[in-house]
Amino acid sequence: MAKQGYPVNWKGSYPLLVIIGAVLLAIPLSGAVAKFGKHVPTVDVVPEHLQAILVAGLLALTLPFWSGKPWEKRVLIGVWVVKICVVLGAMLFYESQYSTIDSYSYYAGYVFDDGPPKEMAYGYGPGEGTKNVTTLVQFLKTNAGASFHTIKLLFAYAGFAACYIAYRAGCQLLKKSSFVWLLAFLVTPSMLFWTGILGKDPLVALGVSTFLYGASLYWTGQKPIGIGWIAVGFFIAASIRLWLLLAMLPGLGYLVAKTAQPKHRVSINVLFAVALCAGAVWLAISRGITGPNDLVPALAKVSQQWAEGGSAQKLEVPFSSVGGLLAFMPYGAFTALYRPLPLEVMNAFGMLAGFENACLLGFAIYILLKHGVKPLRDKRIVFLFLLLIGWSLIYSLISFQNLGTASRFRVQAMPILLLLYWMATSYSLRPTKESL
Amino acid sequence: MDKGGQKSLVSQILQALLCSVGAAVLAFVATFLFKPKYASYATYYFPLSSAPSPLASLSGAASGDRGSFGGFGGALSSPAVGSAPMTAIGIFESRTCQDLVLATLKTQGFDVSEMDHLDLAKMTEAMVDRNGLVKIEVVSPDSKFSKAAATAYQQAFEDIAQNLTLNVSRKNRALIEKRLNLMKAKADKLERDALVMLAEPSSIDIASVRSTLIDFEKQLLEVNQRRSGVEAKLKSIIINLGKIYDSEVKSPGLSTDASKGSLVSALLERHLNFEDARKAFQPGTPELARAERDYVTASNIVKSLAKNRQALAAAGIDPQTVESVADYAGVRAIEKELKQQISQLRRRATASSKGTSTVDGLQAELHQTRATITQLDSEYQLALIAEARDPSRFEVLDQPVADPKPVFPRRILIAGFAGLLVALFFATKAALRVIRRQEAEVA
Repeated sequence: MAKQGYPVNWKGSYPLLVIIGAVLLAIPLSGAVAKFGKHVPTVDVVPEHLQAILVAGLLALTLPFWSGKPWEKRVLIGVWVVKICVVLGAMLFYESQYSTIDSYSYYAGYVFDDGPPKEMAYGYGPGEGTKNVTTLVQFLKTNAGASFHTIKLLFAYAGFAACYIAYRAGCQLLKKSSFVWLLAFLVTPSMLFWTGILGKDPLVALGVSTFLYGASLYWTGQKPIGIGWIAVGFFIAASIRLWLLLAMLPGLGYLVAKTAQPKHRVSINVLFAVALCAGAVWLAISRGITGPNDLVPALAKVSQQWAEGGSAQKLEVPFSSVGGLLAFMPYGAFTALYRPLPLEVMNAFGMLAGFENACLLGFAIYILLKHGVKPLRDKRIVFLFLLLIGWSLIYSLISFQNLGTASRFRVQAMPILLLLYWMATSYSLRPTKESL
Repeated sequence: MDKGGQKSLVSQILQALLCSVGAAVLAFVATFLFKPKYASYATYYFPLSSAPSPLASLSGAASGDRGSFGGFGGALSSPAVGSAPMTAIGIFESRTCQDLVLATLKTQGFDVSEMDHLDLAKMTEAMVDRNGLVKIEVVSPDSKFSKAAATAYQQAFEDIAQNLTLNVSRKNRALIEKRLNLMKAKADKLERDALVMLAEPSSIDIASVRSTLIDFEKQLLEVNQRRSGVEAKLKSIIINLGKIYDSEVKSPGLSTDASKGSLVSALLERHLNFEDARKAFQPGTPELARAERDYVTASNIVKSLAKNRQALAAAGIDPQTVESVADYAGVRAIEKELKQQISQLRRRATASSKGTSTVDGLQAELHQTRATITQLDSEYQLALIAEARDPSRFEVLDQPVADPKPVFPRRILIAGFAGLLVALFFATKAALRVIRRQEAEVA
């Protein structure tokens, strides 16, 4: 209890412990920030890190105003503290290991790689992820005076929101909350880490999650607001990766068709099929493919575009025919979803990703063993399954070449995958109104 | 405090502020428990350490071709083994480099007896910084030691790099440049010497000097003949004068006091003395000059006698002969002048002869030097190209300096960290309190 006339209640010794803990943490942290932030393109990284801690505290104050139950908000606050530790602490080790990561380029405004300096493109363009992210980062840097770590924290906040929005989508679809699945969405290692970087992945994850949340609202009858969320999700995702639209179109078509009146389903399916084809052609043209004969070589080239670094893997015989492409895609899709497996990439990140992938693969096997393919009777699961298939087929070409980037790219699909697992484990033989 | 036992917003903020400030102050004080550390560093610039140049791409160079230049069979460029910055970092972290650094520090009086390679490695960091420069940094509790160690690393690196043929192109270029400058300086000097030599009076046209000398010698010969003739006439005049004297015809020009016999004798004697002196003494000697003077005096007497033309005619002496004899001194003066000019011309001709050979030598050497410069200049251009395209070329950008400002502990920043970490804790706590309030409102 506070003494009379004393404004501060010193009950308990925790303030003193907090102070001592902060002092003990501050001294090594200052050294670590200076030492491990040596590649950050800024003059003095230490004071900029202080700004990020201040912003982290302010952002923590916004969490109580997020939608959700009080216990969920408590979890959010707890995980946010963990996320701050990862983003402003553990990530320093990652950043010290690589001198040319994309986040430095976004922040510096010019390309950081082994070659001579190249200017970054600015402005906005659909699918122009690098250009759009650079513009956003430069806006925050120059107009808001945000430091590298502050901007990274803001991106982490967006990624954190992506995880929670995906969880809210699950809650909306299943009409229930889950502590375990909330934690799964928030602290799965790849979600915790890759949605905390300064880059495209937190924004793409936010777009996908927003789309999922809109779809869940649409599915549960709140169609107008659902369409709004879907549009926002589409906009965010397509701003970074245009081909994500193609990945989401089949699922969206299924969603709209299944929730529409039966007489409209065929026309809706035809409409989405045409849209899908038109989108594919447009994407192909925008990538310089002028005829059907160029398609396979262009895709083979894409499949080796990022094959660099220690976790790169070159295809011994790149596919040269449509048959080869079709034969490759399942393997590529598996790689996009579940590789690297343990011991495939022998470094700390590879081991961690391998362990996580083994758990995810094991969980998929567990679901298959427990329920077989029966969960596919649930149209919500089919919707998610279509989304996952769409994404993994597209990323089978992109993710296969580099297992390091594969684990990062998969963050885009993690909301779908985790939601699918949640839905599948919650599958009941007794059909509900929504599942039909 | 409100009635419900919950703290007011003001007290919460005050508590957070007090705790944050307390943590900051405590952290600030705690930093004094740590010994300051000072950093000193050197940076190296490797211009072509990575991707091929746009020029190489334009010229059709394959991907990965660093555009190495093979001047003189590759002698002008360093052999590229991997990335030059990575090689540099490898050298900095090598045991050989550390040995050299420790040895250098020992010779500079630093006590490194307790320091082993690991200790040195712990206080040293070699890396490619965010600007692509190779940086060697030493952090130690002594700023002077940090600077000395960074400088020692720099020296050791350059020594090892030389052995490992890093930066060969630069050394080649410097060598050729030095030689080229020496040759240019030599050429300048030769050119200057030749010009000075050609500008000297002794270096005038040697052919004309020789021709003049010949003319003078001819003139001298003529004058000699003239003099001999005059002397012969003089002798006859003296004899005739003797006859005049013997016939006792007094001349107004002759001294009345002079003894007639002694005058002839004196003239003859002076003539003989002069002849003897000419044989015995070199021109210009006092003896010869005196004899000449005496003889000229005699001739002057003769000249005065010759004025009495009537008497001379009576004596059978031609007046023209008398005039020419009377001009004996002028003939002598002309002869003397000619001899002097001939002597001078001979000296100049000798000097010119020597000078001509020196100028010719200078011009030949200058020509040779210019040819060498032309050759060196082409080699220098090749060396410049080789250096520009050498992937192992490096330049020192920053020399190590002793920075008096410690890099650790940064007191204000550590205090800030502590304060903000406490603030973060209280922000989290406040957020949880908001959630509890929301929960209570729902309930």
